[in-house]
Amino acid sequence: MIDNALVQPPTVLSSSEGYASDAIDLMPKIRASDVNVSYSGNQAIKNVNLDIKSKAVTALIGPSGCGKTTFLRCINRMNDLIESCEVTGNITLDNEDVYGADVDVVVLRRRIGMVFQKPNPFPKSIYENVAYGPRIHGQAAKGDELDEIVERSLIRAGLWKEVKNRLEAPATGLSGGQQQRLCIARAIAVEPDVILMDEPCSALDPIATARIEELIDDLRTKYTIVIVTHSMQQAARVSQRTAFFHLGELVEENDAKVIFTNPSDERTRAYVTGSIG
Amino acid sequence: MPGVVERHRGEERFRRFGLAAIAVSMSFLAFFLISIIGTGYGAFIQTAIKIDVDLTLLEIGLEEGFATEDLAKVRYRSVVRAGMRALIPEDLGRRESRALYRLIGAGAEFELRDKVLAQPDLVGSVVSFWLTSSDDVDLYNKAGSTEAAEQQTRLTAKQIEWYSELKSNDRIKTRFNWIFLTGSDSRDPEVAGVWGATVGSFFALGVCLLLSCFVGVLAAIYLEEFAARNRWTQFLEVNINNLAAVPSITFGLLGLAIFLGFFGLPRSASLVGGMVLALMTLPTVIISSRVALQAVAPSIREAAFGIGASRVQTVFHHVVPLAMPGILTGTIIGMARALGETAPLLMIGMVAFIADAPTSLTQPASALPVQVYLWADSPERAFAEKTAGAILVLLVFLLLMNLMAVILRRKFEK
Repeated sequence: MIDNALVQPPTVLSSSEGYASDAIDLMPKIRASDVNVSYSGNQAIKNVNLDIKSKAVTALIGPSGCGKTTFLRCINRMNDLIESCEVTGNITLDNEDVYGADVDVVVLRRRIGMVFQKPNPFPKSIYENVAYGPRIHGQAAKGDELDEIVERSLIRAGLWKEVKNRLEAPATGLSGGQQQRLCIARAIAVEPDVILMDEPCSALDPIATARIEELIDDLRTKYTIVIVTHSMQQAARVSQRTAFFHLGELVEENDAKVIFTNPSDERTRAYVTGSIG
Repeated sequence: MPGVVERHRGEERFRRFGLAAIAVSMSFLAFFLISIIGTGYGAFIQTAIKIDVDLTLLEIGLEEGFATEDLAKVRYRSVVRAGMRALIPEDLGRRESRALYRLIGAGAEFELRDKVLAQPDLVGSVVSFWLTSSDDVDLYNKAGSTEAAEQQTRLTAKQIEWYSELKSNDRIKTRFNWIFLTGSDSRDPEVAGVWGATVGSFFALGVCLLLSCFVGVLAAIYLEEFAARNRWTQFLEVNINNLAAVPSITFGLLGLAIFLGFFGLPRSASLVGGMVLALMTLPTVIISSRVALQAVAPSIREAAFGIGASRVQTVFHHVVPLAMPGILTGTIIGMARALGETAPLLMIGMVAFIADAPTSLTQPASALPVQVYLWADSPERAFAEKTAGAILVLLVFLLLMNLMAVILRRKFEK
């Protein structure tokens, strides 16, 4: 399997050769243009245009029901699973249309991992949880390689020390925070480019939350991360770029500092100062 | 606070109603079990008469140096009758002798033959054997020769006299009725057993399990996990739910028309019985499997899809294993229902008198509930306890199947 390619043969633009390194950083990893989503005719998001920078954390904030999760799930086409959901517009990953006719969602979702609101480990062993992805994608030829991938992913997710002696124990026996880090390990085991996180800390206590936030900060050097969060403090702590959604529209997107200190839109100011939401 | 007392009283009232409901249903169950066991236990006990059988060569018509095959040709009926006559000292006329012979069971000569064939070295001497009595003696003996038993029995006064004499000589005993478990249907209650019907039921259930499990579970997985939700699948769903409520005899008619009429499969065969039962259990299996699949948390599906598992991988690696306890329970409950089903089997001719246990799926066979139905219809009084006994065997089977469902469920839930 060739990295950086949703379909074979890869299109010319997906190759990074010939660009200077900061040019890549400037080029958006994901570009959404005129994205509209409706559920059985009810419009959930309207005309969203958003560029997501590579190797940075982009936080999507906004009041409940504003469409941030819907938008997130458009990126790896999880919305395909909801039959009444209709997506129009264009989303590209490395300049390739995510909704293109020849795109295989299996390959797409390998490249765009996802962490969900509630920790959802498989009811299997800790090892099996991490090994499942690489195994179905044929990323490990031998058992040793798989062991290595599992160890590396757990180390990167900051869980290795806690579970290395009980890899065969059921994952459901871990605490909530550990389960969520296991889910992150499971997502990064298949070596994605992008990790989508849908309120990953909403079911966790403050200490577990702090650990996940630290982890997100570490992962930023290697992955493009998009995180949906209800907590403005969390968005301020972890993100470099912040996008504010309101009633299905993308109101404003900018550097996190600007959004939280000097937003240009009145609605953003009202939300971040706590007067609406 | 106002109304608190009234609320507590309401709770207490509801608790009493609930307990009363449980007591009523439990008493029905207890009544049913007591009456069935009370009648049916007799089927597992039989009366035997000790007869001194003269197996000397002259008596059985063989000469020194006979071949073992010749032993099978001996007229054991006369040997048994001679033994019976020897029990009664007085001289008997023809008619009286015949009345005496009727004390011993219809299968006694075969019982004796099998015993002699098993031990050929007994030939040449006089040997005592316990042979099964006739059903009338059996009933009279088990009733404890009370006045009520005397009124009900078909034995004549003379026969009762002989019986009492044998009894006082310790030549009458009761023993466990193996024939009931190892024999097949017979016109004579004392040699009738449930083995043939049990084998027939077993074959039919095997066919039913294979068909309804594969077809039913695959249909449920497809409908639940792969099919689009549209008018067509809604139509299917309504029809499956309706089929689950269709009277079972209708499936028998369907089987008669299609399997026997159109495909020309053999009549009375357990293969066709199984196929008809599968038609009947399919809706149940599909519905319960779908419920089990629906009960798997959507977050598991999302987790699998989220790391790029395909639909088939998601379903077979994660969803089906989690739904397995429910699917199994549903299937076994469907099977248990099929085990007790009579009506559809009547339609395809599994109601015939079958004196031998079937050895293949296409041979004529009976089934346990059909056997119950047949015996319940027989005029001999001794069949009443056989009927209840067969019901007990059926209940034990059901109990075992439900136990299996519980064990499998526990195992898969780990």
